[in-house]
Amino acid sequence: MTASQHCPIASPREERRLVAIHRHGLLEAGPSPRLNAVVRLAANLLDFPLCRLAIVGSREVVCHAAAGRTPTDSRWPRALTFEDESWGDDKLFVALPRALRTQSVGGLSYEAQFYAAATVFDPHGLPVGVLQLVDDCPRTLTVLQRHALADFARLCESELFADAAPTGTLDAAWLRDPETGVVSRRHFRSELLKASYVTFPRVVCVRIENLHTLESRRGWDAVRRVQRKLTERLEEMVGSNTPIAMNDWASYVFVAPSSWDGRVILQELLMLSQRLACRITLGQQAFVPKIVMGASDAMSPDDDAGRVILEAYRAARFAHQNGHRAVVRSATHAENEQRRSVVLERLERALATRKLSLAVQPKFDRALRPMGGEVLARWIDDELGFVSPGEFIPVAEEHGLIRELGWCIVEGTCRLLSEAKARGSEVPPVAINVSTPQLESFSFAGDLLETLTVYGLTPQDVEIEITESVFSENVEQARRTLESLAEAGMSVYLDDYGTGYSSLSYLKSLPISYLKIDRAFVMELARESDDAAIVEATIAMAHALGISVVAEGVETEEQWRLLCEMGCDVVQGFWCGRPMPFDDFLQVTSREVAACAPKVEEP
Amino acid sequence: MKGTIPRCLQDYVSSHHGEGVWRTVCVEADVDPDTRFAPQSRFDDAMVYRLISATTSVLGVTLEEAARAFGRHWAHVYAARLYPVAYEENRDLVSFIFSVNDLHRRVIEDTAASPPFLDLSWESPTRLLIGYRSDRHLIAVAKGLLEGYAAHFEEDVDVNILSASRLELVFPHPSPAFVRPWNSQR
Repeated sequence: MTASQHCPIASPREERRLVAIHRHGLLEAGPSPRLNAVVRLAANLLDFPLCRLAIVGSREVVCHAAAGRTPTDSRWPRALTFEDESWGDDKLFVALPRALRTQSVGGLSYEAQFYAAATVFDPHGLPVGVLQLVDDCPRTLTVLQRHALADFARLCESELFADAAPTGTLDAAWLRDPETGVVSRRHFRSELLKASYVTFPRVVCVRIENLHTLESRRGWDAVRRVQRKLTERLEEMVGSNTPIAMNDWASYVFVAPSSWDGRVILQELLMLSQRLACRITLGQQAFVPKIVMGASDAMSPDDDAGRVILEAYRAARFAHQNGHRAVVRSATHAENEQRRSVVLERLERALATRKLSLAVQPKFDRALRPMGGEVLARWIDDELGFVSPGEFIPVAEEHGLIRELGWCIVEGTCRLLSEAKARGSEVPPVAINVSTPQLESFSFAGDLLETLTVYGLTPQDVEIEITESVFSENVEQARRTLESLAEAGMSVYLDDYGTGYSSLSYLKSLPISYLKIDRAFVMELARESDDAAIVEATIAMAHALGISVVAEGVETEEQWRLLCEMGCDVVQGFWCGRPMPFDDFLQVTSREVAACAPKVEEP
Repeated sequence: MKGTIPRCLQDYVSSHHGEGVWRTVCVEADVDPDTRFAPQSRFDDAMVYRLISATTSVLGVTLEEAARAFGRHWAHVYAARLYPVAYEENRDLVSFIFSVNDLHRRVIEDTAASPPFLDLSWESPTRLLIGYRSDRHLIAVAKGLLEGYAAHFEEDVDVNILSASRLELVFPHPSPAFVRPWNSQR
């Protein structure tokens, strides 16, 4: 039977696909116990009631292996081609085909509400079927779960085409990752345990911090290419005899060579991270991996291998969170981890009960007349006492609480402003810091403007401060949010200017009213001629674009004088006004000039 | 529950019946009439249900009528004002309805809300079946929402409730968005 007999309307690609299926006898082959094991494992690990491997022929779909489904339903008719369903293009897709609406699991019928599938390819890259997950309740798959599903599809390929790829058998796949060739985690643990009887090994974890961004922008293929390249580099640098494993898809673990003792290990890690971070070419573009590394304490045979690996992973995460390239684990880090988990638990409670308080740091114009303030979150916990924003904001960011924290600040600010206005106080606009995840939400602008209306405020009563990190993420949604707010009359500040990803084109095209020069440039203004040159040029550029300039971190009269000479419009800092309770802020802004000003004439 | 639901209810009652009627609703529900329902604030579910119940008694309408009116107001007035970008991404009613699950996924990412899930399937070129999955079982709200979306996109469709979890959209003309079911015979 030829391919054209299979499907009279088939395209050339579909014909090649059907020939491949025919050549491997995939439609005729019966159920495979080994494939069943893979599918069962996928269903259990990803927690789905139904998982099956379906080979898609011209007229029918044949189930090769399944977990959860009723065994009588192993073939069902097929009307459309791969092209119609776009299965050939999307290696992983999440949709609900109408044909899958009614499912039978364990003899019970139910309506499918969620469907995800990863395409299974033959050794020539032609799609032959799909590994499907079906659930009877609406749900989503996390990025990691999607990758796990894709990996299970690769395992199915290894089994289906074992003859074509001798190293791709199930057993080999359990021992080594078929794509990168590194050993599996399970195998790594046993190797680590063996090593602990000979020496006191340390585990090193290598995290690629920007691999998620690459995945979202360039797809899984690009990630795989980067993984292969980094594996090559790692093997070259630490030696092929050292077991290297993927800890997850964005991190590696390996046993530190015995020559890396306590004195030199940090130096070795720094050197390694530098060499791993070299540019990787991906077609026309390049990718520069952002590498951070962590090493565990030395392991004894009594230690649990999993715990030691986790220790190395946490050390790498600690390095990332604290802006280091590498960290070697010590008792201090264990204490920090403990503290973070307590802070997280208490912060969740504080947000639920809105127990954060707010302080406001005033801003002044060049003549030191008050012209507004910046709202800052303050948290005094019943058990922990004062917790600095530098400690709880990173915890909120890491654990998905940053939006909730943001709304807590918005509502608290609106309440204070509304109460002050009800008392008849004159209140200048105050600025609220808005996180990038908030800006990227399609509902943020509408909800913020509605919150102002609810509290009887106008968009001119509140300003927002954004950071340069917005330029590295979903710029288009952030742009829409900013434009909506600016159209309503709200001023936008670009905070921490000069320390992140600012692009001049964004400055030109986004509705930014004020640019805040980071304190790092202001601190040494009087002593560092480079800083002075940068600040002066920034002010000139911003003014040319019609943007006003705020200098942060003004701590001396000399800095204020220099900034005034350079044409800076607004100053903010401890010299002219520390963060203070809202009522004190109202008193400060009711004065004509700042308390520090009277003895100084305006330059 | 997020404040956006009682806020929309307040918006509906105040705009259609006046601020005084809303205050009466609040008093009837034993809720402070000056409560500020900011969209992202959290409110007790029981309090919101008391407000809905009081709305039906003060306005003299059934729960189904109130739910439908709420749905229409949400879709055509409130959400259209607050979240225009969600509408602008779609050119017509059908494309909007097919984007709703994705929209709700984004809502779940942003907040702790639990919006409904729609299971969509074409029965014929003029009939779209909508399975409605929600913990709150408010099929009348769903009907009002669909009517509101149709009004927003200025499209003439009939929305009928088929059961507690199914609705249908009936178009006067065959929809160009119709897609033959995956398992139908050619």
